Parts: sequence; C-alpha cells; structure tokens
Amino acid sequence: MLVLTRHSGESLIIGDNIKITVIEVQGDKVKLGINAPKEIPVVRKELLEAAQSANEEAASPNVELKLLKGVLKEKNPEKS
Amino acid sequence: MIIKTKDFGNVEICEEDIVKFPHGLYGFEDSKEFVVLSDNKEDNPFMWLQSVRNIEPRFVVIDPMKIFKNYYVPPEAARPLIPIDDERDLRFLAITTVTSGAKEVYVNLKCPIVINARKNIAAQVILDIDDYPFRYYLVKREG
Repeated sequence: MLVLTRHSGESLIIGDNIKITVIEVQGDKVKLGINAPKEIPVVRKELLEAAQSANEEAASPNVELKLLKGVLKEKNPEKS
Repeated sequence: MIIKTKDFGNVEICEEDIVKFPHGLYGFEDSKEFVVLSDNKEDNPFMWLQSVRNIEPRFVVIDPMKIFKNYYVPPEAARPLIPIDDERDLRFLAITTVTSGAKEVYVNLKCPIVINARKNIAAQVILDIDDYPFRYYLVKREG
C-alpha cells in the first residue's frame, strides 16, 4: 500500500481525474473532499460491505411467493 | 427462451423481458441478466428477480413504493451506473429477505434496484439516507 502524508487543505490526484482533498482533521476523524467523474461511484467501504452481505442473506430463498401474499397487508405499514 | 425457476418451474421469456445489470448486484457482480417474474394469477406485491442464466441467484423483490408511498431514490445515485435520459423512465425494486418458513421478512430499503424501464438496464445503488434501513421488517420474530 502506498502511504502518503498530507496536511489539511492538501490534495492528492489519482489517475487523470480523481482528486481527494483533506478538508479537516479533528482527533481521529478526517474529512475528505472527493472530486471524481460522475461515472465513478464513491461509497463508504462499510456501506458497500453491508450491501454485499444483505444481498447474500437475501439470495435464493426456498420460498413460494404465494406464501408472502398477505405479509404486507398484515403489517399495515405507516405511509410516510 | 426457457429459463429454470425454483418457484414457477420452467418459464418462457423473450429477449425484451431481460433486464441487464452491467455491474451485477452487490456481492453478485457476475450476474448481469435478470427477469422480473410475478404470479399473474395472484394479487401479490412480491415478485422474483430471477437470474436468466441459472436458477440462482434469485431474489424476492417488491416495489418500495408499496411500503412507503413517498419512497424516493435520487437519480444522481444511479447516474454513475446506468444511462438515464428521463427520470420518468425509472422504476424501483427493493430486495426482500425471507428466512426459512417466512418466520422473518424484511426489505432492504437502503439498496434499491433502479431500472431504466425504457432501456431495460438496471443497477443496484446504496442510498446514504438514514431514513431507509437495510432491514425494514414486515415480519419479525419476537424474542
């Protein structure tokens, strides 16, 4: 892994068009600004991992749809 | 073309039914073609998002607006992933986890699937919105 030291306000460039700027450092928190082309998704790693495990948990259940037919009505969820 | 499904047996689909996921789904990046199958005879809000190539993966899905009428996915969330010419072309699905025997049923409102229905291209997105949880319980086992 490449390790670089940066101060507040300093940036680094990845490739031609991704810029990461250290906006603020406070204790163990770092605020980063990210400029990237819109076709490059930027997501926090723990969210991505949670999304992956949520899908793995949901994948390929041995269930029949008709078993779920009444579930939504029973729940009668609040409409926001 | 005929595809194999667990719930409905062999199902005949046509090319236009196939929804392409150029990025796959989170954790299932290699699954790039799905069809949405509903049980036409039943008035059931749940549907299958069924892989075209194999019997797995398949996911139970629901239109999140059936749960929250005002459920909103900012188009910007999907723009990096799929072409969007007109926001009105967008449809949404939320993946639903059903545990064994449907003892627990919960809907992932955090990571909806956004479909450009005109082009049949879709992507799953992650919404950084606190109101939408990974698990919105429809059935929860107590204790």
